[in-house]
Amino acid sequence: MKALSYVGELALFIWEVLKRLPRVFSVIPYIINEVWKLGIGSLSIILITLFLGGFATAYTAATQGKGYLPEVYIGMAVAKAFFIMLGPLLTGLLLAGKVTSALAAEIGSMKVTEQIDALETLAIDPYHYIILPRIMATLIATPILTMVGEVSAMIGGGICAVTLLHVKLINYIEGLRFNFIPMEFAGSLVKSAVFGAIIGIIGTFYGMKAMGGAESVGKCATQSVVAASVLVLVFDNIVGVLMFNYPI
Amino acid sequence: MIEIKDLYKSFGDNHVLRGVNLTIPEKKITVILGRSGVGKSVLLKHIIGLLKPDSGNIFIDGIDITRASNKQLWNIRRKMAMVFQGAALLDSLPVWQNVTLALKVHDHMQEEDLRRIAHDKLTLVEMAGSEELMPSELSGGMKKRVAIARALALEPKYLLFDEPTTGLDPLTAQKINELIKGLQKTLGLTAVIVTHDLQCTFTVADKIAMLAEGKIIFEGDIEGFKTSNIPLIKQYLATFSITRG
Repeated sequence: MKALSYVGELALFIWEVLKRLPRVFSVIPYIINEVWKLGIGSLSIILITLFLGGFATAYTAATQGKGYLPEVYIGMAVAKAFFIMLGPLLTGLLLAGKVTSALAAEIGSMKVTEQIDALETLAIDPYHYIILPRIMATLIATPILTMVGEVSAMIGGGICAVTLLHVKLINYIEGLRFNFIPMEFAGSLVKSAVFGAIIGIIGTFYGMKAMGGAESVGKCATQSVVAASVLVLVFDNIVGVLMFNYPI
Repeated sequence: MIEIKDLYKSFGDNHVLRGVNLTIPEKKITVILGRSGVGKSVLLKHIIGLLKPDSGNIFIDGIDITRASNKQLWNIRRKMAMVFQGAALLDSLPVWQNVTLALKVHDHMQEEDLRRIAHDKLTLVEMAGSEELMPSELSGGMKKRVAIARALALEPKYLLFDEPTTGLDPLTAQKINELIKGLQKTLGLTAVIVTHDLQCTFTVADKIAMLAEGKIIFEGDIEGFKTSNIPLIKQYLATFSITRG
């Protein structure tokens, strides 16, 4: 019963946001501002994590395939792993932790200090001016951060290949290009856009659920991270099956 | 004019409002007095449409806001403004942007005009010069003044105050009371104040309504209040006399 009520509340929340979508152009400056804040704030963690992920993937591919896989496959392993799976997933999970909690805490504290009520009394619709720009920002910024992260992973893999594995750079780059399927790259962007929508919706939804005081804000922020992380993993499989036809 | 008729509101088993009837006259200050937790703020949030009642009606200039569409409600809210107990300034915006936020959103005014209006409104509340400060840099009394300036920016017909003097020292509280009284006279506003503070009530009120056990148990002027035989009011006045010595 509780789960049903939760799904109902979330569906109503999403419906309230969708109703404002036709007027999204009036909040473009707010969206740009949020994309900028979100992008700059999350860039370093994405770059470092995916760089290290690329490094580890290249090393693992080389050690596992040692003796029977030509070194050109190291680059391919990194590219395939990050375009199909790791790029959007790692970015999605990192942002689910960092951005979802930040959104829930920001909006939650606005809620408990009556700032959201104050906007309503000024005839300013909080769904239009606070919620919609943040969801649109995560929807836009997550694919951009994923792309940047994937480039960082390729660089990480390349540095590993050249310095530790003594692979020629040209062979590593050839591996990245080998069997490159544009649909896989597009798929990683679609996945990350879905993750971005989840992060924005869940963060703002839990923020709006806060009531009372600081304890409630903390609780909502924690719950939002759990919910967003689980949903990112669930939708990783759903979108993966739909776009790449890989088994769950 | 604001008319409240048979208003009921419960939160679970807590029956907060149990048939409130009240008329708020135009261009006067009406103080809704009552003990903490009696439902004063809940009543105020009904008047501005932030809460929906279980039953009953609230007529603002003849329109029942309990049955109004969202569009009608937004239009009515443009005639009203509210000053919250904790000021509720937006943390992320400097003072001048807090004051003019509604004008920027609704009227798409240029920054130069917005800054001029912010300065004018802040001058009214004796806060000129604080335009660039962030809310975190303001004291409680200053926040209340900025919140009043923000409320005045839309030039409302009705101005609602939720506990305007709570958390302030007596001198600052008195200054806020005098400011409210002065603004009401100068601008000809209809003001509604909810408070438990008798000093505030006696400084500003044209009309007093006492809320207890979910109903209005007294309506009248200051003299009528002081000579009332209602036990709760007598208790209130006795406590007030003791604290004033």
